[in-house]
Amino acid sequence: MKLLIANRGEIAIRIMRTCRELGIPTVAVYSEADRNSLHTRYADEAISIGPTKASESYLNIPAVLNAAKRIQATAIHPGYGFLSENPAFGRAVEDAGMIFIGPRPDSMAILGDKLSARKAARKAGLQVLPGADQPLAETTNLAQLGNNVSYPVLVKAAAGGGGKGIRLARTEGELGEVIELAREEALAAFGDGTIYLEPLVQKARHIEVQILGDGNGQILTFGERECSIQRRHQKLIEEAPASELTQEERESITAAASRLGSTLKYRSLGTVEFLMDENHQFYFIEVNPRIQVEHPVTEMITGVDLINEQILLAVTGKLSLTQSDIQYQGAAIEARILAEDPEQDFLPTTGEISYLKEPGGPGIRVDSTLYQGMTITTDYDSLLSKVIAWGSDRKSAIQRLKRALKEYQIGGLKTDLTLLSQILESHPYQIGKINTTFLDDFYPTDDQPEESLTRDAAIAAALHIHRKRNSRSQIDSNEVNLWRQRAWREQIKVSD
Amino acid sequence: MSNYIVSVGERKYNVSIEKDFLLVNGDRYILDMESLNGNGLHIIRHDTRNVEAYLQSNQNGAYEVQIDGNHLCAQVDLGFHKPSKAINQSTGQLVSPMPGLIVDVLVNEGDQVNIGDTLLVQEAMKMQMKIRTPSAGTIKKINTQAGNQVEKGVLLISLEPEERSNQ
Repeated sequence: MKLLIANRGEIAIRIMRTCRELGIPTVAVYSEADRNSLHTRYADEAISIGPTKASESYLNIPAVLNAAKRIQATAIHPGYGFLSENPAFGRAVEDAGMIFIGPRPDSMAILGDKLSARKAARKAGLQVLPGADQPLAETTNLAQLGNNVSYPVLVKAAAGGGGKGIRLARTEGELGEVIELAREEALAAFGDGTIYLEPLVQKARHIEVQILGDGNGQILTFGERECSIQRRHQKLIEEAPASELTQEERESITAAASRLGSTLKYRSLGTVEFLMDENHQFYFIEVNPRIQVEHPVTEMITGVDLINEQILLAVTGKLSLTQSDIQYQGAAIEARILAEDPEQDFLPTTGEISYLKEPGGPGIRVDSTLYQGMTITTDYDSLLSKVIAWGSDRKSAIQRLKRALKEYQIGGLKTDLTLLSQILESHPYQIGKINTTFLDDFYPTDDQPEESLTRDAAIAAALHIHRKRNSRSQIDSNEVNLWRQRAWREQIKVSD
Repeated sequence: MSNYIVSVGERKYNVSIEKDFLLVNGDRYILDMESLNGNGLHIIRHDTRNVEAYLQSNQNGAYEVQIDGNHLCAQVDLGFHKPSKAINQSTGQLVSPMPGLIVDVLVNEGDQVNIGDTLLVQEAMKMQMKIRTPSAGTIKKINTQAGNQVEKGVLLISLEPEERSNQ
């Protein structure tokens, strides 16, 4: 067996790590921009698939397939994003005689269209959000439509996923423009401009269930995750288990997910996503037919390597675990480190990683794509790294994650690290009072850092600039010489 | 002796660098700062307290300092002020708020625009953002076109702000 990973970044490395443990040779594919990336270096073999632009490399089915044939790969793992939810890709891989490590292409097609996914869910007896669940025709009369909608309303791309292609219209006046923008965005991102409207559930929590199906109707469930802390409908902090569910609710949501998977005869890993309203009513939103970014929190509390199970299933056609093998211990939380600036509405940031120190120690897992000297561009997703903390309960997981985030040092690029710490330190987060609009109402307590730290920073800055100026102007005063002897060891080292 | 006034957040420090000690807001400190990698990583030793600080200079005396998981901005007042050039108080210049692709330019030179009108659409990481004008006026010059990949802070459009006396 030889496994090609049709992806990049942290998830490509994550998959290769399990392959190494299993003794499976790995193949990385890389675009021009990723020649020197970590995933290219980690793999046993690496093969170029085209220019930087994703549509010409990571999204280019012929390029990926040609690479797989040339290198004689026997299986392909798509990771998340890129081609992972594209049924045509799954089909092409299987037609070429390789194993596709993912769902059957026909279930991907059903689930990829959010509207047909809802139909399937309703058929399986799951509760679906009421209201508009029909595609919005290009010719829809806005004036007529506007009256029949209750605001705020979400405008979503039928082909969307991963939080992309969702826009909010607060008033009737905004609806026309939002629809237009959502359609353009959907067309640009997914090549399909179909959109639909969905009532916004106020104070909703995002709860999802991890499943693994054998393709014949047997489904394993790995408990739920809560991903309510989001920015721009994209997840930022995720945890398992969900903090406020009763055992009964937990069992009921898990059973619903299992039922849907079973009805679809779902194969491989998948995540069934729900919204939970203030009365703890669950509504099905979608199925992500692939490994998810936040899968490590489930791995931390179950001790199961999900990628390992996924690969074994793809190879043998059988589940290697039974439901009773899956036991839960403690709590886990994941924080996403992003090349985004929270102070500027999460706009992307770019730069060269000039310094890097990653956290470690008990209960900490870091899935990262960073290295010192790496250049961060806007060519791909802004996810740089994930820090996952396990603790015996939620409180100790929070403490650990806080500790780890303080250890994380990234120089040369603005990230969301400070915001992540502030969220973990906030009272609402600590008591589990969270929902998907958490960040809209989040104003970090204006805690000034300890005086000793700001003083150190001031001293460091003054000394640094002082030395720089004096070394430049070559003032040979007694004062400067003394400082050189006392503290300017850096100068001596540099000139050695 | 050299004097520096350093602002960190809302706190101000008057740092005097003397022969073999420092005065910080009048208090005497004997400490040592050493570079660890020649690339911004330093250790500050002050009695038994060892602090790791990562320093990055931005421009004109501004430093980003990472200490103990805190990201601080230290602004050193160098005692002279650079003339503030580009920042017209009425912002006649529209710069890109993020790096990304210019998808569409919706105005032409000479067009009259009102506050909030969309001038450009920019895309990055599959997100499209409408870039609106913060003031009314006439489009003087367009410095970009659809299809351009621009960095953050690049001048995109110059605007002749509307005279207030006209209103």
